[in-house]
Amino acid sequence: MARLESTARGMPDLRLALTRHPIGGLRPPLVVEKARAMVETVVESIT
Amino acid sequence: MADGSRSRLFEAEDSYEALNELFHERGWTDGLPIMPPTEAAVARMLRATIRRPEETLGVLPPRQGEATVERVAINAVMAGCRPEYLPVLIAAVEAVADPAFNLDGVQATTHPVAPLIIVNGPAARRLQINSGYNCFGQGFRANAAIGRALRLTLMNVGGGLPGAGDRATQGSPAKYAYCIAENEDANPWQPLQVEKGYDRGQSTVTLFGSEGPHNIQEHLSNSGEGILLTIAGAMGQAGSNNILRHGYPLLTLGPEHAATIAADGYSKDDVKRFVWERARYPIDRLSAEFGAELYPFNEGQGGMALICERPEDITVIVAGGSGKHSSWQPTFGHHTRPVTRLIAGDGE
Repeated sequence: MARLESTARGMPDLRLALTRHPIGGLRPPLVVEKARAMVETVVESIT
Repeated sequence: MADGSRSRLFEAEDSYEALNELFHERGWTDGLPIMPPTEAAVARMLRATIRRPEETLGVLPPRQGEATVERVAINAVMAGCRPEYLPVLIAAVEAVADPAFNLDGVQATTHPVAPLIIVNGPAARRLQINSGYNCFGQGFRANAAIGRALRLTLMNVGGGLPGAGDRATQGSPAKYAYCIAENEDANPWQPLQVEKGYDRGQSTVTLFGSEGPHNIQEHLSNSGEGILLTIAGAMGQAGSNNILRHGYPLLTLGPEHAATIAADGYSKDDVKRFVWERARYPIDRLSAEFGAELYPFNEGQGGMALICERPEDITVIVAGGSGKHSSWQPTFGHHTRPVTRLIAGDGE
């Protein structure tokens, strides 16, 4: 979905930070765990 | 809005079966056979509007496809529309492209939301859009073809393909075709387009991003209050997006229920207020984590979750034939608003 949207908006190579579904319904500690695992990817994507 | 590009032509074997196989292979159908959109058929369809083929009606997400008049006409042919349905479909496409409808969310969400087209005015009667018995069901070409044509447009132009641009967890049969007319003759109050500021002689479409109909059977009460208590009980259910995030729910009264309610002196505004005051769910019957999410949206409501912020956020229409049934259409919560558009050429 993210790639479809970025391509449709003229940014086919936009760097994406992806995490596995789901986020909704997870207990807060698991959400924090997923967020921590994403930090490095987000930093790489925007720097 | 700037003009869009013209559609591409494809050469194919001159056989109905082969064409349908091609369309299935390319993912251009909803799973049912289509009418081949030949140049001649599309040209006949386009003669039903004065709009130019390259005119863009809106940009449809998530693919950001330009919904030109010609592309809409192609999907109308595929869906089995008669040419005179095209102005209704054009108005419906313009409505879903309105930012207030939030087609981005409606197309992509896991929620089973579908665009419901409600047609009012002379066009509904002239085109024989069913507003009576089984109006949400099968058997009427205009309802089926107009609803299907919008779905095909959302798929083929907007990219709402299951598992890709359409992430509905389970989806809904309403996503095949979802189009009715209001039963204005059986409506004891103002019809929807008049409530929206148009004249009775004008034809409109009003689009709701909603779930399929949830039936409300009420054979026992013989008073307006009794019927409305059951309706409020049905609408104040756990699990709807309206309980989660309010928005603009739709109540479709069957003509017999509407007549009983009106005969007891209720105006349409009275109906909305009655339902708004009682269609509520006790938050303490839900899990603590769900409740924690609901309390901030329902401050000062005595621990009850509301389906919308204000009585006027509920829309009430009348549709169906004889019988003691009504229905409500939970919507996509506050993520979408109903949008009304005039059907060009009908009382404009």
